[in-house]
Amino acid sequence: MLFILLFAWFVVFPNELPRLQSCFFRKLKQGKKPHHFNDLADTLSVDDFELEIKKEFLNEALMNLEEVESAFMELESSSEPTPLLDRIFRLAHNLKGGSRAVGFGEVAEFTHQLESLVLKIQKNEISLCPEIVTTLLQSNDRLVEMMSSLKDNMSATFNNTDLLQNIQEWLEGKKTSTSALASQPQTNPTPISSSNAPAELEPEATAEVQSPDVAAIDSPDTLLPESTAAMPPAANSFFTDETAVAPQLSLVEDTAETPQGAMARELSSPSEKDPASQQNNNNPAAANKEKKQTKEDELVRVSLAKVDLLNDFVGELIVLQSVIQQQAAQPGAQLMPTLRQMLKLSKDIQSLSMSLRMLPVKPLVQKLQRVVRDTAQALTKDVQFEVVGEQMEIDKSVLDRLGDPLIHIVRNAVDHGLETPDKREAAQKSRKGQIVLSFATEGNHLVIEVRDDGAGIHTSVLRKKAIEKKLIADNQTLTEKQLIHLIFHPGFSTKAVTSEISGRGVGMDVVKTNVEKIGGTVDVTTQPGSGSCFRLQIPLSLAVIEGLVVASDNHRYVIPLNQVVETVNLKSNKTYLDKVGVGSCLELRGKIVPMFYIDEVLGMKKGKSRTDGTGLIVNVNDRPMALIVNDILRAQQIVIKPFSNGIKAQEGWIGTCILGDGLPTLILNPVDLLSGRIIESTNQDLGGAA
Amino acid sequence: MTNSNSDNRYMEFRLSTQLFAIPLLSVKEVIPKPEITHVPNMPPHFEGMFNLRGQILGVFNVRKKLGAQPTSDSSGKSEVVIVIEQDGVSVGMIVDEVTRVLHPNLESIGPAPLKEDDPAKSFVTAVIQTGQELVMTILVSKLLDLEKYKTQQSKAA
Repeated sequence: MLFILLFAWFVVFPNELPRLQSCFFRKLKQGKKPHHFNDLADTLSVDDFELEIKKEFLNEALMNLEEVESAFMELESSSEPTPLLDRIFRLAHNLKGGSRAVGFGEVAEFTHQLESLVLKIQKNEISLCPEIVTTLLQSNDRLVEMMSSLKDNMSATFNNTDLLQNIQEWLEGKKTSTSALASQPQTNPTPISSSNAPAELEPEATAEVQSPDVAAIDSPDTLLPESTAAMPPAANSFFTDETAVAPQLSLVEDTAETPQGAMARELSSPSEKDPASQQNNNNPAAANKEKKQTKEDELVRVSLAKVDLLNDFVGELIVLQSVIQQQAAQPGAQLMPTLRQMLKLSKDIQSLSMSLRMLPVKPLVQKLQRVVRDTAQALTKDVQFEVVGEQMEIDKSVLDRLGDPLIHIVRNAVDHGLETPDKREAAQKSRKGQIVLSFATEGNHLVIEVRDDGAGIHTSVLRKKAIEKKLIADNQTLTEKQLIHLIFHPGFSTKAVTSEISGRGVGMDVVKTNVEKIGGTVDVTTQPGSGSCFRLQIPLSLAVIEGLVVASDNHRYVIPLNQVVETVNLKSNKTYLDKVGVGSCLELRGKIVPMFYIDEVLGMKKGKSRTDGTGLIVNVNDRPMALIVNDILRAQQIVIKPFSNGIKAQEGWIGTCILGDGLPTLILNPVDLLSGRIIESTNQDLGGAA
Repeated sequence: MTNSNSDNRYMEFRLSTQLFAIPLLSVKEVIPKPEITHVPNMPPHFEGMFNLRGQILGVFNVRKKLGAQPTSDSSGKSEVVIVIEQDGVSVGMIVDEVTRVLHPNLESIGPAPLKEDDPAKSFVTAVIQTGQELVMTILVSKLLDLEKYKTQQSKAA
């Protein structure tokens, strides 16, 4: 929810940030067009690309500023300012980084000062008092103003000298707080700061503060020649907002000069907090812990048209309800037509309410474009990145968890997949490597493919590595597919040296676990010499699935349809019961498929091995297994409810749902239930049968 | 008082012959025993789950834990479920009968003289003397091990 573009990026690769930033700015400072933008020209023109990023940034920033404002407000009354300050600092820092990256130099400058101020408060060099909170709120208002006017006019400029001066006075200690807020301990200047104060901030801050040169601030050209060149001349649209600012400013001065009145309220609650809790305040570990506990509510922006439509639907529903009520009172009235209407309406409402959770993939695509560009630059490779289907919208919870896997895959494609230009030329390919990212829907699934035209994956190399790492035995035979799937093994990397970009062997493991967490699958196909393709198949929504309602004895369970490859009738297939070491199996088109009775898998009584019932064939790590149930009752749409209210989630359980008769049922994940239940014998003959 | 609220009313309920009480404000509602779906692999006092107006709740049978023997009238017909809400978690608890709401004065409620080796000592918090009977007040979260579920829930969510 924080900056999709930048914050998430920072979180994912904190160690890469300085490198990326520096290389980005170096390019820009040279006044050259970063050459990657040329590469993008096929899919997006430079201006469109920048405009899109800027717009995105402004929207995000405005949302964040709202959040900051409430944090500032809380500061005044909070007994635990440390986590709040951490949050504000984080937001200010992001805003600074983000605004600089997209070319809003003035905003960056302003937030930089603001950040220094928050840092000083964090370090307790300035203690919290109402005046400082007022200054912070003023700055916040100013930022909102700047963002809103930038939204209307991307080249707007601002006069911030007044507030900057105010902040500067605080920084230089000309203004001091006459008293601290009740809960703020006054005597410990160091402990909090060590945890999250970037070392570079201090000297830089003072240096810039001493020369509040308006001209310098107002000309971001020195910093970002490229981005401003695309805009109309700044002088034409010089933007001042003195009328709006003046009253607010006087307010600041009022409070600053007569602090007693405002302060009385604060002083009336003297610092009688027990020392233990004060200690807590200054303990970064404790603050972090608290942060983790309070789970932030996530926000989704929804178009007003959709909300209106939803309102219309609900209105219709209410009308229908009264119609039904009336008809029910009349003997002999025909209810069925009304009920059918109701059915249609409720389906409409369902699909609409699901669509409220849908977000465009575009911001993610833009992030990936940067990943490609930056990785390619770092490796001096030439890459053309093509995107197909970027207008797609997908469920927010899916989108949130897709970011990491896709970044890893795309980075891998640039790093491992594509060869260096020289090698490509030697292999008679164009010097420029190509990566195609495509989004598509297939049935109930979202299919994402990352295809490169690089060297492909050589299974012999994988095999050697795996034997080296003792993942497989020397003489173990594996299919091509099984060999390729070794790359998903945690800690597996074919790189000899760990670099900044790859080699730790974590990436592909992350891809697999993240994708599986959202009920998806990863598949890799490769053609040595001509490239590989990563294919992610993900359910379109996490909340509603197609499910099979199955029965076993007196119990019913739901199995997601997408996990079941096929169903077989046990009676029409040959079965082998209770074989030593193997248990019961069935023969399916000549292959041995191990059978598992659902009751036993769920840890209930061991029933008699049966030859009746239905087998659900499930692929577990490319090995078919059969989950045996008594009967399949029907296939239907299932609304998943997460586990709560005293029901403990267990391995292989997805959630609960309510069936048509109003009774709750467990939704099971057969792959998780069955994985790890088979040990392949290392004997070559049997291995080959797999 | 174990509950943080200052209300000192209790809901009294019966399990076979024994009377128990829980803070009234932790009770969300009392419903006739619904149809319950079995959930595999759960502790013995977990009975299953049921649908309460679209919400799925776990339901507990604490008869064994509270040392109550099944009696002739606990065949399941007259049982009711008390829906308890605590720390954002709603659960059901099967009891034989909800008898009344108690409003004990300060003299009639006191600490329970717990037997050192009794497993119930972890969740019996006090006793109320009503005149004819001793009513044990119990701490539901301890009785049902709800803490465990709370962490589970946040993990699942």
